Amino acid sequence: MKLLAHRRADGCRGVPHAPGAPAVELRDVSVRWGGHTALEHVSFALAAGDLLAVVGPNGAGKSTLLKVLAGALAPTAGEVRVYGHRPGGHICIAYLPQRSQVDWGFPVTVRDVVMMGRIGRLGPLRRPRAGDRGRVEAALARVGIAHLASRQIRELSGGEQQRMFIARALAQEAELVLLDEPLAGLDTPAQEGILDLLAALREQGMTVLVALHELDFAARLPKALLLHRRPIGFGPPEEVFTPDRLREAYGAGLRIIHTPTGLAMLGDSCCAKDADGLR
Amino acid sequence: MGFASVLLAPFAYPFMVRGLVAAVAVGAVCAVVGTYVVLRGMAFFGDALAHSILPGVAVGYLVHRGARGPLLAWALGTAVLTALGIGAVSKRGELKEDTAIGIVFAGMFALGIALISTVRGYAVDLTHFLFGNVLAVSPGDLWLTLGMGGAVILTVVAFYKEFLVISFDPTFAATLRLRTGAFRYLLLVLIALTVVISLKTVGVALVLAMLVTPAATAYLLARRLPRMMALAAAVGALSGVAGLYLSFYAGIASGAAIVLVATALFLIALVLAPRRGLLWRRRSRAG
Repeated sequence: MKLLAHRRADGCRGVPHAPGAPAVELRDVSVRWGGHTALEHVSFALAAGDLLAVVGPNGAGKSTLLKVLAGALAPTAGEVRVYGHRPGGHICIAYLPQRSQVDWGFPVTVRDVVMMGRIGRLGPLRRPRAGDRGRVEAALARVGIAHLASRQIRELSGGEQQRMFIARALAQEAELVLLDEPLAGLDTPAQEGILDLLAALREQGMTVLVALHELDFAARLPKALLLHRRPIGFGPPEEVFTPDRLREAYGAGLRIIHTPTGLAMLGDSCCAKDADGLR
Repeated sequence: MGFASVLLAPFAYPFMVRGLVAAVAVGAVCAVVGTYVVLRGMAFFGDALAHSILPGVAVGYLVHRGARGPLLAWALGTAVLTALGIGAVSKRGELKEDTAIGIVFAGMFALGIALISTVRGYAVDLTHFLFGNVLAVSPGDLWLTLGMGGAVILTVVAFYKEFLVISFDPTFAATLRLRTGAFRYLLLVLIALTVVISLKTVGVALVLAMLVTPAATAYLLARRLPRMMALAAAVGALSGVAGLYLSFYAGIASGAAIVLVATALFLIALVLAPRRGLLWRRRSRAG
């Protein structure tokens, strides 16, 4: 248990970070199943504290990329490293599912879901202790939903549901946070609130990858990856979201409109059913 | 005849006492395991597994000629093999999972009927396997039921948080380094064990009802998983007791009587449950 106190220096649960390794590193990663290619030749690296928007049309492989990083899906080719380790050997990765993928009728309260973040640290046959409960309450307060802790999860608004999953990542003491379409189906104030929280996570030194459909929000994050099965652009958003690259990613799905204040770009923003979701 | 004697009359017979204990235990164990069957949408799998144990039962029946004891062991072996087999087939992803289950289910069931039909006058025995006969529970059966049922419940409790997180959010569970595959197989084995101990009480054709109906009733009433499990167990046990009385006084087949009581309790919850019941929804729409 002592190890946990020195987590930042020592890595997760006593697994030391490889010295000098980037927080996230993908080397020529491809994912195929059946005859279908979900991702090909994806390579990039992120330093600790980076905040990356992963952007692309439906079926571009955004969810697949997050699942590969989460260790839930093994790449067909290439290598994935988180602080120099395989994702499966690293419990400080928090994965936040798409809201449309969650069974909201499941009989759990908000507090139960956030407590799930502690399970990896508890180990088998152990029950949560006072320290775990304290971290859960602190995480709930941090994202501003402490007053909703005893609610069944269906009774929350979309923005509050997303905050709940961010609280779970905090309770997990995650160093890498993966969010799949966290802004989908939220109204603008709720979307702004989530983006503010992500910026706060980053300031605590967490590395954040967020799959987004909303190009306007993605353009406000420090880094962006434009994806259409293969990477089309990676870097600061003003270099990535150029009309040529966007057209390459979205094809006919993109409309570029000249407005008095500059270019406006409309991506396909429907995302109820992501074609790259896995069985 | 006073009320007390109405309640006590059936238990003048030792086989009724054994039947009652078995019905309560099976009702509760099925309901607790059934909680995950309902939450994970595995109803079809549960039904298929129940029907698939018939050939195992048939072989045991043919090999041991009427001796009832080894039957459960044969059933258990078949159930675990089928559960692991379906798990492996559906994981490969060549066929959709329900298609794979359907093929295994129907094929095994047919094999079981074919084997049993080689015995003259097989219809009576087949009926017992299909629909159960709680009054034929021997003392040995009862101890086996209680022992295996206890082991199933202990496993569910011991791995409560792992089963919870794997059922709610499998991708997240993978990031926690939980052995999601191993726990999935463990759950299949638990369902298999549960089906086997239900063989005498409700039979292979109706065990699905005991897995799904009390758990669904509890789903309508509970907001947290531990409460849902406790309520489901209570509904399952109550169905066992009330079903046996119904069977005794109305002369109905015991397995069917138990399932009918469970179904009635579900319908009551469906109408009256707070928040999720039909009446509540109608009222909140009107108001």
